[in-house]
Amino acid sequence: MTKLLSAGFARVRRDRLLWLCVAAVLFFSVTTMLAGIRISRAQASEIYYDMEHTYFDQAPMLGLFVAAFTPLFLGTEYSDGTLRNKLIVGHSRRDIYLSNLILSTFAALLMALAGLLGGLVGLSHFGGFAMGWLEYAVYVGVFLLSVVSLTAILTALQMSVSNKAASAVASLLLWLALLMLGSRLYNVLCEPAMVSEAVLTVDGVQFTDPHPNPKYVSGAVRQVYRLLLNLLPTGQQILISNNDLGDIALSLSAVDAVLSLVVTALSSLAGLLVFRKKDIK
Amino acid sequence: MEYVLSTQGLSKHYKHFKALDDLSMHVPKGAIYGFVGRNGAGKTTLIRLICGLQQPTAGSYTLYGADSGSRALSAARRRIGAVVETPSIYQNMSAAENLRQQYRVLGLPSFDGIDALLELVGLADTGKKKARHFSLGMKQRLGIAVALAGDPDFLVLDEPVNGLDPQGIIEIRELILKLNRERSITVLISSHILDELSRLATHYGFIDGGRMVKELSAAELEAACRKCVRLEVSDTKALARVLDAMGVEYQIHSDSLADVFAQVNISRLSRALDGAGCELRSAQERDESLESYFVNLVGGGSHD
Repeated sequence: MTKLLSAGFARVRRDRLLWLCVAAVLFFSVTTMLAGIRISRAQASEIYYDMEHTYFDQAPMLGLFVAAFTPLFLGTEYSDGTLRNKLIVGHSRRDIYLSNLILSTFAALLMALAGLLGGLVGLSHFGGFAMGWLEYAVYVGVFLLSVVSLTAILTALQMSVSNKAASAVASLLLWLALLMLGSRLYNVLCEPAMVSEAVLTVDGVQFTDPHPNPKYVSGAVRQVYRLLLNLLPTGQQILISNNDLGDIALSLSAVDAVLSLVVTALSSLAGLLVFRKKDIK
Repeated sequence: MEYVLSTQGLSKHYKHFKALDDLSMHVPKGAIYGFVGRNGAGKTTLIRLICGLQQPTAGSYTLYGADSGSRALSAARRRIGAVVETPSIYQNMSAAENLRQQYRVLGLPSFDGIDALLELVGLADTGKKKARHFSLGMKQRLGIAVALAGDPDFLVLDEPVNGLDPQGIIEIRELILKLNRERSITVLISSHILDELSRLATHYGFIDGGRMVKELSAAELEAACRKCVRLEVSDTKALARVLDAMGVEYQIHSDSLADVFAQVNISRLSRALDGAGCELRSAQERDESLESYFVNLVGGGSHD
């Protein structure tokens, strides 16, 4: 395993795509933060912008770069046939899988850190996080674990598909599907329990008495939706981007962290089982 | 005889297709084993199995005494190098970088042997040129160099001269011979280019339809292909006495069949046999090449 990691990190160091992704994430986070600063400075702005509002905005988008990089980096082992060199000299499939998981996770975390560091340019304007540094650390921790679980899912997919181009397309589509699912779940859960409609009368706009919202989900279904949202790495990232971890207490952040680890373990186990049986050509 | 690799009833099925069917083979230590079969016969499948790229459906193999199901197999694999179908090289790396990468995979403590390896395969002057810009022959040689990293005792080459120009074929052939003679590396080489194999191999295995049809040494093959006259007589004992008297080399196959390895005067031989109370029924000149031997062995049917 150490030998495989040594060889893998040598590849990571010289991988242009990785450094391109890191630079892109850094650029994206800096420009997002600068845009946030500009809006907060605007006199006409009715929206109050604090540091964390803008800082975590980019969280769900990191998956795009991870989904682009992981299959291209790991897929080279299939397309160039170099995966065979490892098997031929006696490395076990488990070691090969785990070393690849570690490498892709390292790369994804590198991108995530670039994003987190880039966003800190906002400190010069906002002065700090309104949520406080402890809560900031919890958000960052949950975010990084969600990145790890997303990478584990993408690694499992990549190691199961020999075709580099196919796995790259499949990775992007999977990430997009997870993002859309997370977004849909979040929107449904954000529906208020009671609503009142605005009615235009001769006396002007009047609001009806509040009544139950038909789109509001409750009971067991709500619990399932909530669990799914917290289970999905993209769901966690949507919560983070909306600064929505804090209002459900730090203890739930620990649940998110545990769920990320569960997703990481389960997806890696599934990927490993497929890879162990896979016929390599 | 000590075998580097032996397989016992090895089978590999892809759904309903039997790529390998109860195949048994034996690669002696120090040999250049020519693995002969037409396209789709199962050569590459066997190589994939012994290299650990795929799992057999049934049967087993033994590599340097380690059984395919045992923990010792991993250590035995450390003694082999292989080029399966296309060379396994990073296209965006130079020849030296590719070798450094394989040295890391093997956990070798230093990169000291890389220059010598590049020299051995004739790629010492490639510098920083990326492998993707190499010719097919250069890629093939780099693939062999990667397989040779870590000084393997057993080299497995799957169709190593496929697509190469005549000069490239000669270079690969000389390299294989050099490795076998100077480093005592056992080589398993699969090919359907029989003429090329006949210049290299010390042993042969003929495969068809996933089954081993025949295994024999180059000497046995040479004897089988030697120019001769096949005689059918009524009594080969009498024939033997006559041929001994004539001082001619021969080989008796049965009570009625024998091969005579000389240009004999049929009239004289017929008279001598007549005198010995033996009837000459037929005489047929035989001059078999490896190609015709192979065709006779597996039949001349069309490819699947």
